[in-house]
Amino acid sequence: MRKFVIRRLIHLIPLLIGVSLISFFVMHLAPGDPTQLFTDPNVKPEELARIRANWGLDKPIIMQYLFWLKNAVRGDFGIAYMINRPVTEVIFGRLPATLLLMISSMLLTLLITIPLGVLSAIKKNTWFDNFITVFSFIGMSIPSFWLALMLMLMFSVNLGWFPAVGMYNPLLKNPDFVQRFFDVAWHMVLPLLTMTLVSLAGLTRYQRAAMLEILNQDFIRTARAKGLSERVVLFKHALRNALIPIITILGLSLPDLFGGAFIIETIFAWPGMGRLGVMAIFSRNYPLIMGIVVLSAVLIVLGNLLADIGYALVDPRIRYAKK
Amino acid sequence: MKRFKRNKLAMIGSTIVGALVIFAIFAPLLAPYDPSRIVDSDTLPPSIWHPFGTDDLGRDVFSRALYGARISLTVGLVAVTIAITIGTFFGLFAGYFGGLLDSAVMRFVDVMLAFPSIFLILTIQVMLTPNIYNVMIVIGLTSWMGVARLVRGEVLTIKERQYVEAARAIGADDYRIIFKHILPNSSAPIIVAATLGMAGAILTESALSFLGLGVQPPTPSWGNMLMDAQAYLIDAPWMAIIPGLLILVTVLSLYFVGEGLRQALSPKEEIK
Amino acid sequence: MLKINDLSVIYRKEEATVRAVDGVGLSVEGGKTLGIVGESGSGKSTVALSILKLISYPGQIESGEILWNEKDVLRMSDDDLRKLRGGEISMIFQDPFSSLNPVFTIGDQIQEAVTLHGGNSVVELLKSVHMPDPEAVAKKYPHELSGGMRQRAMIAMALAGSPKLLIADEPTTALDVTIQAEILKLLKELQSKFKMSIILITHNLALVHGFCDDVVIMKDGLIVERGAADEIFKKQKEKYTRELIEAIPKPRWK
Repeated sequence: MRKFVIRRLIHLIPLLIGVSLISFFVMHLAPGDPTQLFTDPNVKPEELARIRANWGLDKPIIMQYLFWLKNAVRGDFGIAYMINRPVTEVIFGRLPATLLLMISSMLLTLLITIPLGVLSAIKKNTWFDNFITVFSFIGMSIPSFWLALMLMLMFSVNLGWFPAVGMYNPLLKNPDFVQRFFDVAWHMVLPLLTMTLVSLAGLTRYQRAAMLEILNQDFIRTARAKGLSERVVLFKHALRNALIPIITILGLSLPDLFGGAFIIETIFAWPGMGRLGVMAIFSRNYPLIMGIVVLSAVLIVLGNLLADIGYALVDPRIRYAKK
Repeated sequence: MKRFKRNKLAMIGSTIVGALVIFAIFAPLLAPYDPSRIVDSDTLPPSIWHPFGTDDLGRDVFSRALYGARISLTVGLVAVTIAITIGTFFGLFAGYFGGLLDSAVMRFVDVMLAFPSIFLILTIQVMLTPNIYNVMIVIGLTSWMGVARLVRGEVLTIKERQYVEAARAIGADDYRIIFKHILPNSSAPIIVAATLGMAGAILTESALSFLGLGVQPPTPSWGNMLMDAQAYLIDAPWMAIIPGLLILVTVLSLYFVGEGLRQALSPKEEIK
Repeated sequence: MLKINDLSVIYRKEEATVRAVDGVGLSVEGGKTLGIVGESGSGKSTVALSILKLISYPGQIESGEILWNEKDVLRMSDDDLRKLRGGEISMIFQDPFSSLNPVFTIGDQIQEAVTLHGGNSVVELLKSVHMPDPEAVAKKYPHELSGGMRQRAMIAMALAGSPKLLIADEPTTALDVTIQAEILKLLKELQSKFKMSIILITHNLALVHGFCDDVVIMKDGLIVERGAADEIFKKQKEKYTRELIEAIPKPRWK
């Protein structure tokens, strides 16, 4: 088991190099550089040249990449342009907000999707199943940003129940932990809802399909032939098997979850890594972009790894085969 | 074919997609107004004159929506064609030749999959001047990975089948085997993936246009119509509701068609 | 003890409804062995599954009665049916790998049957099917055992409730030839030890010889011929039966 984990972690290295390489060269696709975004006409050309040299932008691209790489492996991702703080500091400052949103979303999704998918399969072709299926399809077809706007329209603008943007109320003076907790939770409802509804749809369908496949297996018939009640057959024998695939699919849905975070955080002005990333892209903040890309890749691969480990823990066929 | 027709949802989906295609092709004839011209007062709610109302500049939303259909369907189609082509080639060669080529391709796929794709697309688009052409290409370039894996899997299965052995035994060369035997037999999942991929491409294009990095105004795309609608959420909610609804219906219909195709094309089960 | 009258089972498929079993009747006496022989699609497995009312969608038992000690299984209450399954009537299936739950140990699965129907402990049951090292096996998962051992485990599980009738649906088809003989020998031994009746479903007429007292031949959902096993092998009434017998490969040496 340990060997498996270590092997996967080692594979992470060429992956990260690949990811960073592609990002770096993509960013330098366009002619020009970030200094061209300075629109202040009073800035003299010498100043621009100095800034450019300062940021190392006058060297050939491959040199710039190697320079970045050399520092990156030591954990130094450079200084973000304009903000003038180390990239690592900026990113880690925003990371908790994103993690809060993503983890809450994943938990909520799991909580809802497993019973929905399982029950859908058990009650195949009933009105319940058809309703859930159509609902899932709609959920998969909704553009997340539109859903965000609609939720905002309904709950924020028309009903005034939840705040439309931000993570906390800046006007609250010296709130204690509980007050702050509820404040953030209040602000989190709409973005959380948006994120969860979108992932819920696809995962429920997947869980339903997995459960259906299991119900068709021979060992279900054996369980019935033993005289077990239908309830035990379904919720002990079938369910235990149905939980296995959901772990893998959760891991695989991480990149999409991340992608969703970018858009949702931007719309709801949620101060997380996603919003930071979008701003970084628009302002061509190279070091920041590189840092975010690398971090996302790491998180995604770690997520997959955790999913694989979870899978091995839960499925005895894998666990004991590795011995 | 019959099985597909029997699937109610798939038929509804096909009808809607068909209708959209017609609307898109005949948009210039069907649109009551020029989508770029200001034809009336701004932010008028839906009425007989303007079934979808007017937008913040006074343009007819219905006409814009019709032209927007053109954009979405075209981008979806071209992007998915690019993605399928790239993915199929990679999948075929990796699966058939195996070995080092296979490992290399699969590693490449892993790297591409480690990106949150939106991020990569946004980055690329920011570097270039966004327009409809590079939107199509970029989406195509970033969504081929799933198809590649799918095709590779199919190839691995089919490779072992007897008619491939037979073809090899009579001396057919590799390329002939790949394109005449393996490819046609793996076409079913590719078609399904193409349909679902088109739905995804439409969603991605709308997200890009929404952020301003896709189709540029004044060319109407459902996505950039939503971008404009953001500021008028309170005053003219129909500006936001309608394009989003259209995207939803289009993608949903494509999903229905894709699901229908998948069920119709899957091999029948054996009777014991 | 078991009497089937005029059983009909249909399968609703997309294109048409198939009649898998068409007006079949048969009976089994206490302590006797009945063989139901037929090719794929003859309906033999469907008959077997019907006895414990294990037919599920898209299959449906259309008509008939299945009398166990004068009570109709098809019209029993759910509670009585569940007591019957794994209790007085037990069933083992063709592929022991897919018929055992992969995520529970052998011991857990057999224990379920013991808890429901009482009787001997898991280890004793495993011993009675001659499972080597029963305590260790009980802690293992199905994929860790060989095919023959898995089938023995299934049999042990089926014996938990001391059944009076054991239905064996192609119990040896998925196993190697040498193991086949062992399993059949085991079944015969258990039969006399526990005084059970056995119904053996198979497509291989050769297995019936020496194992079954009576035989029923099925084709396309109907019973084509029936009689005592010795009689059938000596003299066949129907052409189909003759074809089946002729199809048995005969050893050429001797």
